[in-house]
Amino acid sequence: MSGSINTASKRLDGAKLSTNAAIVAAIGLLLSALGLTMDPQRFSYAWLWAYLFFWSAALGGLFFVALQHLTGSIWSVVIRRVAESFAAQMWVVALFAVPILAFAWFGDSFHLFPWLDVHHVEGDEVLAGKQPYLNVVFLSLRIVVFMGVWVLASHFFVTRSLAQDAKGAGRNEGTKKMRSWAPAFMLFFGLSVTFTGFDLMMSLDPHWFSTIFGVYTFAGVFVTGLAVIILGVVFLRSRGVLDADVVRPDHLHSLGGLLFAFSCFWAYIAFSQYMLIWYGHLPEETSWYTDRFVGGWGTVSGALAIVRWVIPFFLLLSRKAKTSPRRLALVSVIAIFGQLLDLYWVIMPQLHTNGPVLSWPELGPLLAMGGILVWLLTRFFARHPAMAVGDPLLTQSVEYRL
Amino acid sequence: MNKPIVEAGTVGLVDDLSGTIPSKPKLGDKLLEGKQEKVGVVGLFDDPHALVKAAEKVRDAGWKQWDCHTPFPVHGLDAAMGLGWSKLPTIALSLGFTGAALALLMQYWMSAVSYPVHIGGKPLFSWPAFVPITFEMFVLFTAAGTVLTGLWMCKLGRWHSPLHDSGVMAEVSSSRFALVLSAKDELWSDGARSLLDEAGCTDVRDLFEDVDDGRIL
Amino acid sequence: MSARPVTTEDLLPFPLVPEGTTAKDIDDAVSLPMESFPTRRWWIAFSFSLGLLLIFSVNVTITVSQGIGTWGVNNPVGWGFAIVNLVFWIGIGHAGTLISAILFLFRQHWRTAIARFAEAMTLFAVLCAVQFPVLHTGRPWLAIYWMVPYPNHNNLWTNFRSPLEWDVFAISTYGTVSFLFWFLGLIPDLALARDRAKHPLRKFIYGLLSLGWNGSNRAWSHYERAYGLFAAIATPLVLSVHSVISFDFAASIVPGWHTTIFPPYFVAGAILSGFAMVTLVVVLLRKMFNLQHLVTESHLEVMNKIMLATALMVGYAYASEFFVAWYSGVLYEKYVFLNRAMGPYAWGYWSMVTCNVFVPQLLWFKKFRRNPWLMVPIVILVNVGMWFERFVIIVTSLHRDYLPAAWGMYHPTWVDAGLLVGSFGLFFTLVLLFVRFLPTIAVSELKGAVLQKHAGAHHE
Repeated sequence: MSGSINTASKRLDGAKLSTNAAIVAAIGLLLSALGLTMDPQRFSYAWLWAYLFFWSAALGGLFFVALQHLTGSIWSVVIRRVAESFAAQMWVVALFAVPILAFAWFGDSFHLFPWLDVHHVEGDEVLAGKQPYLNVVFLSLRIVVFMGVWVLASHFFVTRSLAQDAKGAGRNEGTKKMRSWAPAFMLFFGLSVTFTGFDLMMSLDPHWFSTIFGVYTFAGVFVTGLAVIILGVVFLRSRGVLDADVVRPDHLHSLGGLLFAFSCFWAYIAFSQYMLIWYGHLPEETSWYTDRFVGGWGTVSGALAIVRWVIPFFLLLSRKAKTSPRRLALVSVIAIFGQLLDLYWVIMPQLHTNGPVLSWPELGPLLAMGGILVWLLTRFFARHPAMAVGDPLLTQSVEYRL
Repeated sequence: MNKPIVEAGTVGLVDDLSGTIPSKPKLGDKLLEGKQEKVGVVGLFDDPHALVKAAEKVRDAGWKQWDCHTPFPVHGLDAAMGLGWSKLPTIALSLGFTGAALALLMQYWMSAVSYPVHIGGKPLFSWPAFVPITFEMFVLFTAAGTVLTGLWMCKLGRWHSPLHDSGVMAEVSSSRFALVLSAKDELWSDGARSLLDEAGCTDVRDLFEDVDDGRIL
Repeated sequence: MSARPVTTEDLLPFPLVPEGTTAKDIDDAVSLPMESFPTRRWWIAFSFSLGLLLIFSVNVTITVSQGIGTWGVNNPVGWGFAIVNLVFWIGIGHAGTLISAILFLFRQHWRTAIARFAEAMTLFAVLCAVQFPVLHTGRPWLAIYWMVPYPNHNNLWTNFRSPLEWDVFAISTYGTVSFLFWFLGLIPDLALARDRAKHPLRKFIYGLLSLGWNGSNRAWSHYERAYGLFAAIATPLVLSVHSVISFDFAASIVPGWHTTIFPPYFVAGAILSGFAMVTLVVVLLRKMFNLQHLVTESHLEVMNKIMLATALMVGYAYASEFFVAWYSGVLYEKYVFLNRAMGPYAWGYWSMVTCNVFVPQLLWFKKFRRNPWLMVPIVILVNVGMWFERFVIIVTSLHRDYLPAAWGMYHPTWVDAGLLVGSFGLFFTLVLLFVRFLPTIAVSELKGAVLQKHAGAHHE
């Protein structure tokens, strides 16, 4: 058994991949700069869209790591490093958040947050009432505090796990320590995800409110986290960096099951929100949805349900599908596309009120951040083993069977 | 291990393990002396792993009419017996999807066709309102499908089996692992029990079935 | 922090049974209550429950013979104790399905020891819950045509757009599926009871119920798939049932009811109250039947951790409702929440917050999670708090809605109280009968989980 575990300390040879990623990032940055100069408002929406997507991936990875420590889970030890690799990029995601602070502080040039617009707020009793919460200083404070804690938490979980790789003494204590901090992180996670959802998505339509929106944001984050983790695992497995005898179909099945379950969870939350607002038919609530049925937005709304739930549901229904790397990779790509679509559907109707618009200014930030993150991830796996080789429960995890 | 006082194969009060033969017939006694017929051999193991090994041997010998009986599902035994993947979920889920479709159709027909009533300003076919019942019927039909398919596939509802007649069942229910070779198999011969001996089984018995069960209940 | 170094065993899940437990030990321990004459403790508990059941029967008779005018419901508070009790009991039931289905899917093996109790509780809780909406119809035998769609002489169909109609489907499906799931799990254990039975009548009854189960592996391979599939469909089912219950409120536009977080919030609350009830029953039963070695303090600890997690989720829901009521800027929403916290029913609101959010914080301490005497008051308070939660939601939102001219107060009557108290009699009578006649622990599953490990270790 120990022989097969050792193979996992192989490193990823990602020279070609990182070059390509760097090229993509460069193109993306160029397009972003162009977009910024041509139409700052459109650029700010595009940046927010891309930011929230990569934030979902990194935070989803961090949440996954913390969840495994919280539950003392064993099966996931062999794949936890992949989740950690995404969590480890939290610091760069924090840098991606800096322009959002700029959008808020220079609200007059970007017009990202309508509640910053003095003319908009004046004479609007409801918006004026929200000022104690919706103001630049408090928003920035929230962004900075949330980001700070996420970065610290990622650092805590990732460095402790990497420290175990040396297989020295005190590994058990390390695991214990991570487990004892996981509940506190979860508390913070719940609140920070909720308010990030409120701040960066819900407040784009400052009149609209929905108590479930935090849960909706969480569903998107976790599904995205799972999707990128699965994609990472399948990729590293196909490259032989993760041994197929170590990360077995049993482990893939657990990942696939989670992706299946949380795609359904997303559908449950999305349906609950939609149905209750549709049923209640109160003007202050329905307007958000009616905006999303105007012009081409109706098609996007329908596609969202199909991409985020119907397709993953049927593609992952059978047990065989959940263990097939190809099928899992396919569904993960669809889930990632689903999150992009979802964020697009939440954010963009506030700007493009007549129908969806998608062109190079929208793609610029996406390519820039994506390129940078892939480049960092390849570096991560070139430096560190793709598996938590020093985890005290690794043997038990390898032996995990359905 | 509590061995039955009445050995398998002998005619008697198989149910009453106390061994005392009551003078008056009571519930559960056999009124008639039923005829018993040898239907196979059973090997009893104390260790699930030994059973898995034996099952592999029997499978490789090409047996078809045989089975293992265990107090709990044993890991790896399905493969050792060469059993395929159960089709039960496929059948049950198909029923579930049928149920969901019927539920949606029913709600549509009753609300929008048979007796259309406008309620709460909602359209006649208001699909969001129909989702909950559609979902519940999906679950109900899948559950019913699982139970019915399960009863049929697990051959439940047949209260009579040679294991019960031979008193082996009590041992299996508690903690022993049985491998039964049926006389119905093409490979069956009087030497069949040697296969179990070779597999390391130290407790091999003939298995009898009551041909005419004269029991009151 | 102790200075003792952490061992790998500390990091692994706790052992399900004490070292050296054999299959026969498990069989004997679980079968003991079924095979021996009930103890005095059992009789005392049973008589007490029967007494409460009598109270229930008397009040049902009063309600049915005289009508629901004997209740405290009025205008504007048209939903009173009955709906509070419905939601309360349905919530209690959710823990059973959660333990048997969701924890099964997450391969939490510790669930084995408590799953059967919890599933049985689900059934009985659903049965208690159903009493209330049925009684609320006044004359239930006249209510069938607007609850169940069948061709009737009025030529009318049920209103499928009504959340109350969804309830009919959701609760009946939930009851049916929970029963089937529970029975499916019982089959191998009933076969064990049959094979251990000495008395022919017992043997006959257990034999009949076990459907001729003979432990065939050809059957096991289908059985396991059936069980897994049941778990997979029971999981969304349990979420859907309390969500549908929450739709009864949230689909309306009553301030304080119409809020989108209701579905997951109700589910979290249901799990909290259900776990509290399971913990209570398990603590009592393990004492009553000496099952402390099979249902250990480590089991209780995990359950208490889940309770703590759900209590925090419920606290999150309370807070987000409050925050969004303010954030929304809607006058009525703001008012209803201020009225909850500071109006005439503030005592109910603060009882709810204290019992459901503050008291469970004690479970951060290991001592409270592992000591049965310390956790019993907590779980009782959580159940009180969860009952108050439904009371607060229903009564405070109804008693003051849009027009002050239509405001009022709600005063429950003795019949209301009798039905509530009596429903506990119905519940505990059934629980006590269950532990007397059916295997209270999933024997075959527990043996599998325990003995396979030994076999595996042997193999290495």
